[in-house]
Amino acid sequence: MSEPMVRFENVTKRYGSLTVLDELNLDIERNEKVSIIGPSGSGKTTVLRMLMTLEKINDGVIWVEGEPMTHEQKNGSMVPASDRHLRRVRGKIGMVFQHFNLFPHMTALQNCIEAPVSVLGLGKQEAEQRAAELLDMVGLADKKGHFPIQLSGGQKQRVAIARALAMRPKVMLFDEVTSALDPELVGEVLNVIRQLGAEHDLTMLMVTHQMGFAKEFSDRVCFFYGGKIAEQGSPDQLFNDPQEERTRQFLSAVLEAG
Amino acid sequence: MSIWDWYYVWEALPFLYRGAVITVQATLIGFAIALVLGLIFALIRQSNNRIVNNAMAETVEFIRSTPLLLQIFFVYFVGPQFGIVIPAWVAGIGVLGIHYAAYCSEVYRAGIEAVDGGQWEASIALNLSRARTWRVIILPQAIPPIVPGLGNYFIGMFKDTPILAAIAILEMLQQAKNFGAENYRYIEAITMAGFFYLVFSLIASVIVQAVSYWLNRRYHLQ
Amino acid sequence: MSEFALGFSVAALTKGVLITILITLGASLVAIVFGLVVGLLRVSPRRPVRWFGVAYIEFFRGTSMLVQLYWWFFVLPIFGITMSPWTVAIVGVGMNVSGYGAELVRAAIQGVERGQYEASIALNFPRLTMMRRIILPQAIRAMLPAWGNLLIELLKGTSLIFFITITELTTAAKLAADATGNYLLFFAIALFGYYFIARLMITPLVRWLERRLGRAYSREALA
Repeated sequence: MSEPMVRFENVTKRYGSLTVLDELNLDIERNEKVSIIGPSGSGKTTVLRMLMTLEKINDGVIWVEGEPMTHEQKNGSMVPASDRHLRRVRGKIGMVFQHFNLFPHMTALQNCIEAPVSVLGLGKQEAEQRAAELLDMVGLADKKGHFPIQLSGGQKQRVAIARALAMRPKVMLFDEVTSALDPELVGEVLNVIRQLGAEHDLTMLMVTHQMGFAKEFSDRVCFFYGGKIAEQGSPDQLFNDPQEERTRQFLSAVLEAG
Repeated sequence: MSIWDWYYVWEALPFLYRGAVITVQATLIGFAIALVLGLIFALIRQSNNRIVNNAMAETVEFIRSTPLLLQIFFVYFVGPQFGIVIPAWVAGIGVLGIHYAAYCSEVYRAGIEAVDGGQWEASIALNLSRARTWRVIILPQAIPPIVPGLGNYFIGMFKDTPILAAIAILEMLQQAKNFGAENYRYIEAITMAGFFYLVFSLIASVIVQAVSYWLNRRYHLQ
Repeated sequence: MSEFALGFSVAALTKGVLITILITLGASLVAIVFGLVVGLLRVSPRRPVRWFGVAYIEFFRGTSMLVQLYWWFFVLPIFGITMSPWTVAIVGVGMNVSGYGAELVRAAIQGVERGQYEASIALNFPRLTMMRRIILPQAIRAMLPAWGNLLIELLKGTSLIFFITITELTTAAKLAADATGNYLLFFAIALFGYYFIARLMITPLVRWLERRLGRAYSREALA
């Protein structure tokens, strides 16, 4: 089992004439926690969105557990993936969004059982029991019957995490999950992610502006700049001894801003 | 007998042409009334007097909830009962204009309410008169964005003109129907009438877009 | 006014009101079903399906309702399809309004936040399930107020049946007024008749639906 959980191989993404990601190569190991940092417009969110199949890629291949995700083998050659293939591979990946994207017409519990029932085909009782456990884990056992509008931002984001986990993904993607939160609510969400990392076998890939959290939580940090990985390494190395001038500039600007 | 006979297409054309002239005239005059009267309705609704404001709102609501055909009947037939004879033309186009004025007033209102409240405050701070504030500050900002909304009602009015046939105004569709009745051939004339409405709607929506674009540039709103 | 004429007129008007309500109900059903189906076709990922939706909407919105009624009534019999005036009324008015309805459905579906679609993809919903469980419930709530207005337009549209020989409310009022010579009275009654159907039946029904479907969106309603 030496193959990486996720592999980006020469992946390029363009919007018109603008190249957002330029021949990205990145391997993420099983259970590895990787943080992606960088200035806005550096393509970091695009990495997650491509892996979640929210964006089509223009070039290259994304692999998940040694299997091509964006492509499939047909008569010995690689062709762009069919919808069926995408749906099968997509089941291994879960995502938490910056703006929560909870379903507003469903309670916290319904948010967490809808997909397990209608996509995984779980029985309603089983799905409910599991959803209840997950909501309990994120500290919202008493909010099961609440609708999103009745929840604070931090609570919404914790429901969103439970909702993604209910699909039993192997890889979890966190896209600036604390950026839309009031400062005092950031901690409760980060605590849940911390706990998740400690107690579950999950590969985690997160785009974040929380440098302190990235430093403490990640196995590896990637600094993106201009559609490329400008520098990567252990948090200790990247934060305390950056090799690249751009990394130093970015870090000092971010740390100055507080 | 073939299903579609070009002979009848050529025969019906003069009828349709005569009707189309009436239809276009009725639409243009009717819409001019709707634009002016609609704006007046909208301005009355901005009145600070609660009673005036509510009365206007209720009137608009009533006009919008009742059929145009019945309104035309009302004006055309009730007058003579009291000795006032209104020509069909005046009644028909007048009611068309009033009916759509009610719709247009709602569009104007949305435009007026969308203008930033700071514009009023700035005008007061500059000591502009109320009338002048409306004319040179508020309306030039309120109207260009709502041109597409008004344009939809222009097209809507055009498609409502066949109702005028009920008081014996020979607009296009009635001409088509009469032609059909005379010749026992409805398909060509009525289909052509339908086609003309469709073409006019499409052309009108292009014109509305152009006017909207021009106005927005004229007042630097884009 | 003779008692006979009055009695006749009251009976005619009452019947006219009932016919107007019945045709409004029937045509509303047609408009809602076709509007929903065509609106969904209009946002289909398949291009030919989408084009069919566009053509349907443009056709029914672009040609006048009365033209369409005449078409159903005078032209279709040439093809051997003869429909009763009632069918023409319900189908004709309903299909015309369904063009506008489909456009409301399209706008509401496309108006659902992009994040909802993205979350649905991330949770791996098949497209149909996503539409049925996530997108449509939100879209329907969003388009309800516009449907309220549209159904009032439909109610008004039923007056055009005057031209195809069904004695609905407008026709009944005209007949009663012609018979008695009292145009003011009968036209005023008919005008208020429509007003009350619109404001005491259609508007409250739509408001009630809005409240029911909007419960999850209002903190006060949930408290």
